[in-house]
Amino acid sequence: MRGIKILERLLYTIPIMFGVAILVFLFMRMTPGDPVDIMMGEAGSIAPGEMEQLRKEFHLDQPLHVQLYLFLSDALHGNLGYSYAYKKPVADLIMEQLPATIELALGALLFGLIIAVPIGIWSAVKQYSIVDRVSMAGAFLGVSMPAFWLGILLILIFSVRLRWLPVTGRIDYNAGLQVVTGFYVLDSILTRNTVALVSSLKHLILPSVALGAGTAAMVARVLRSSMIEALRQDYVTLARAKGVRETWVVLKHALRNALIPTVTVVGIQVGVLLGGNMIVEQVFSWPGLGRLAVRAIFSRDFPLVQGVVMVYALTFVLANLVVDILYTYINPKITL
Amino acid sequence: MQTTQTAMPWWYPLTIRLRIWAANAAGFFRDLAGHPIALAGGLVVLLYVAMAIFAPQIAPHDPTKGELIRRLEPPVWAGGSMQYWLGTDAQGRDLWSRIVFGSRISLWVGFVSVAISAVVGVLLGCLAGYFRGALDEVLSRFSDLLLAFPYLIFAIAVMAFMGPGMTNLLLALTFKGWVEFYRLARGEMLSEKTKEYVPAAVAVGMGDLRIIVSEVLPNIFHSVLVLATLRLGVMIVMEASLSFLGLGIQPPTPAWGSMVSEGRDYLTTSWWVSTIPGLAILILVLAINVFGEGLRDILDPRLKIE
Amino acid sequence: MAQSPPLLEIRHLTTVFPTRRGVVRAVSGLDLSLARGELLGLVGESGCGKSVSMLSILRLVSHPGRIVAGEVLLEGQDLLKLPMHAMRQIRGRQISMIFQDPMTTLNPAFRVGDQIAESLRIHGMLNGSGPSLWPFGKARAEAERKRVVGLLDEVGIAVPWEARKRYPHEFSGGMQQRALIAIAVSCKPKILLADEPTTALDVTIQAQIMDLLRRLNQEYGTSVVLVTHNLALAATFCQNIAVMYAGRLVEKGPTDAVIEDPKHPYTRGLLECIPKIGATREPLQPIPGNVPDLAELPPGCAFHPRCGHAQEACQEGEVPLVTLPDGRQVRCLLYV
Repeated sequence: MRGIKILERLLYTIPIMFGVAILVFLFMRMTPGDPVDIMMGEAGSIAPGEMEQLRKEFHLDQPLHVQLYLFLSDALHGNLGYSYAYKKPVADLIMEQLPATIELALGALLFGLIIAVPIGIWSAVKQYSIVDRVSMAGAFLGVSMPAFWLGILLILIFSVRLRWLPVTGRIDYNAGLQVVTGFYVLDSILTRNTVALVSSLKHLILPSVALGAGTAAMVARVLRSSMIEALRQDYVTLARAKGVRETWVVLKHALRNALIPTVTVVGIQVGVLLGGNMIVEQVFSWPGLGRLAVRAIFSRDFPLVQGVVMVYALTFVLANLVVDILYTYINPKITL
Repeated sequence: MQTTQTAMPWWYPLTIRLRIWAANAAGFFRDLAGHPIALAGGLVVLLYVAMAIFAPQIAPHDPTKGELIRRLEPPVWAGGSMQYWLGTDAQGRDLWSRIVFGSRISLWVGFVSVAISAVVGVLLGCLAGYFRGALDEVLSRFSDLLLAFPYLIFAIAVMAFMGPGMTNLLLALTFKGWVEFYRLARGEMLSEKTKEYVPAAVAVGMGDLRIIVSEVLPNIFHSVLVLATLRLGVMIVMEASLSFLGLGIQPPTPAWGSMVSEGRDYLTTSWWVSTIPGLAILILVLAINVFGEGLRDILDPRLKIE
Repeated sequence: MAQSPPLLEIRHLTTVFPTRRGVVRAVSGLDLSLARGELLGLVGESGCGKSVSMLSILRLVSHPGRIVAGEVLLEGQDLLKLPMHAMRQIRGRQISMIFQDPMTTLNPAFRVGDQIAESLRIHGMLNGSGPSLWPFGKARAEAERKRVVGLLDEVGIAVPWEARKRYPHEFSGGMQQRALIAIAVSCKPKILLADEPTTALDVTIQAQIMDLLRRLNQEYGTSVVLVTHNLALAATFCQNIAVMYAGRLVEKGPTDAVIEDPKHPYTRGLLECIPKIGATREPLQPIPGNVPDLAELPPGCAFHPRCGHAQEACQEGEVPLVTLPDGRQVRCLLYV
């Protein structure tokens, strides 16, 4: 039964993805000015024949609906165009940089959850205690802080002043990591390269904290309030009346119910993380999709921007799908 | 028994509402006084607004012109002088003056983008929720689709391809911003529609538009206000992020985000150039959020008097 | 009356709740005893302290409420002095409790069968059916399943092997209450505290639930304390009735005796409030006045401001609980 529902949901994302692709396409075409002109403006001197050639390449001489068709069919075949700035197919560029972005997003999410879950639970159990007040104040701060500023602050403290952690990049050059999946932390575990593992982790910490702080704050607040709500419920009293140990009452009976609204918020945070990714990648020169996108935008690399925006959106849709599926496991009243 | 029929002018319900609102407002300020932290937040916001309005009077120096001789001077407590009490940047421009003028950008962009988002979103939401049908379907699907994009991507793409400038910036921010208000308004409209006073108004023969404006809207007002306050902080951070990336307001106009970005190269020697503008953002957004939370605490339990 | 020593004896139990208005004395010096296999009704208006006294027995009074005085003797052992881990052994095992609203008392996040199994597991009811550690626990899991199905069947839930996999929200109110009863009796407790178990249910279901409780009492000898504001319900179900007012016991005796010949003025007033079918059409006689504020109890007898037989002496000092020659107990100066 659930399997069918999941399949249904998966199928539903297909029209969304189509919609996203179409939206990106339309958007790119609707910006004022001839795209080729814009691109040429960045490249400097171009032979006159090349402009015509580029126009043909981007099918700009065709009517709009034909362009759309070509664009979509190309995309389905994995051809997202050719980046003239990097002189590589867009799809290749994206695949190179995508793991880095995902690794950062996961790192931030993990950081956020590791901080938020214990704090949320503790604050709810010991309401109005010092821990509660301090962490809620901290949560306010976390929500109000711009990620790029936090990143710079962290660099200032940990890289410049304390010299504990590196500033930029994903890994030291001399770690000699053999890349398998593109996820450096995973790869260093797979190739049993401790030096690389330590190095990649050291590089991952600060960006994850900068990106994940906002998430930690939001999740801590939601978890706290839903735990407080759950602990007030009758089923908690019943659990105690059954003789369940207090630890289990909190961690099993109450938490399970408190997770329901929390997962919703985590789902929203996933989107925020993917967005904020771009900023943090800039600050830490993290070689991911976000930084690629910013560079593409500045060099007016039309096809690259198009590809990156689409991939971003699709990742976002998929991530939401995962969260939605997770949600059905947590909330027995919902079956998608 | 004789009954005289008096035609009620269309604005009469509004005057009643205004009187109720005034009574509520008095109570509101009383409540606000009982929430000292939220009150503090509100005052800080007002201070920022004052700073923005009276920027030319407050700022001691020209924010766009710097004296290269005085470049990278530290703040007054770290060895600098009172003349440039928050220090100077790489071009010798006074940080304090730049922050003061930068507040104009942040506050203007923040308020206007939230205002536009709110108006557009609430309008569309009310219409969609009230009339349902094709309008509702199309708008809701479209907003779902828009939500498929992480917020920054959109803004960046818009700024990049349409060029910098205030109008484009506002467009970029509001393009996705209206969705939250749309959903709120639509949701509230759907639930309000089921309440008795709407069919009652229909039965009396009120036109649809009048029902929406004079009957339902005032009830939605509180939630919209709370949402607007919370979105304000988000918009300000987004504007700062865009300027940080160089996609926002272009130099030499000072914007806090670009100030932070400019200071990155001097992080090892002159930490204040990046840190202090960011602090300005943090304090403002913190104050807004604190105030917004307090607002929500106060407004939610306060039921709208019918 | 019972000649053997009482199973449960409550002596001078006092439970208070500090509030901003003052200290609320929810239970003031309650004296009550329960015999083995007895069906006792604890009757009184809302707010008279019946629920709180039950919660006090199991020490489930929620903070900031505290038990400040008294003893609760289960077979001679004072429960109030037990260390927490010993108390947890009592809860659900020796003394069980069911609550008023089954929808909120069952944990919505877990299957019904699991919630019953939890009781069995905590109190080791299945020890001896085999080891519990995976992967050797198959025998134990099987025994558990059988026991759960058996319990569900006993409480009258149809298709018990299916029902145990369901979530609480998939049941009707009556079924949910049966499931709660299953949880309560799973470890064959000596005492079942039933706090308004049928108030949230339809009248027909009410009868079924009461039948179930009666049957369990007869088959397993479980004593039942039925807490209710519905005097008629208590009259049909209980062997003895105890009447509470403002946190104190004011009358106790066999049901028939109390109903036909109420001694305490309050009891008399309660009975006169009940409309009688067939009697001449006279206006109902409510008890004049209001239930006292538990934070500011009147001195002496708590009922005297509303009592038609009040004397000067009623305002002075505590009125003792008097045992009449036929074994009944009354707290009233009329019988001293």
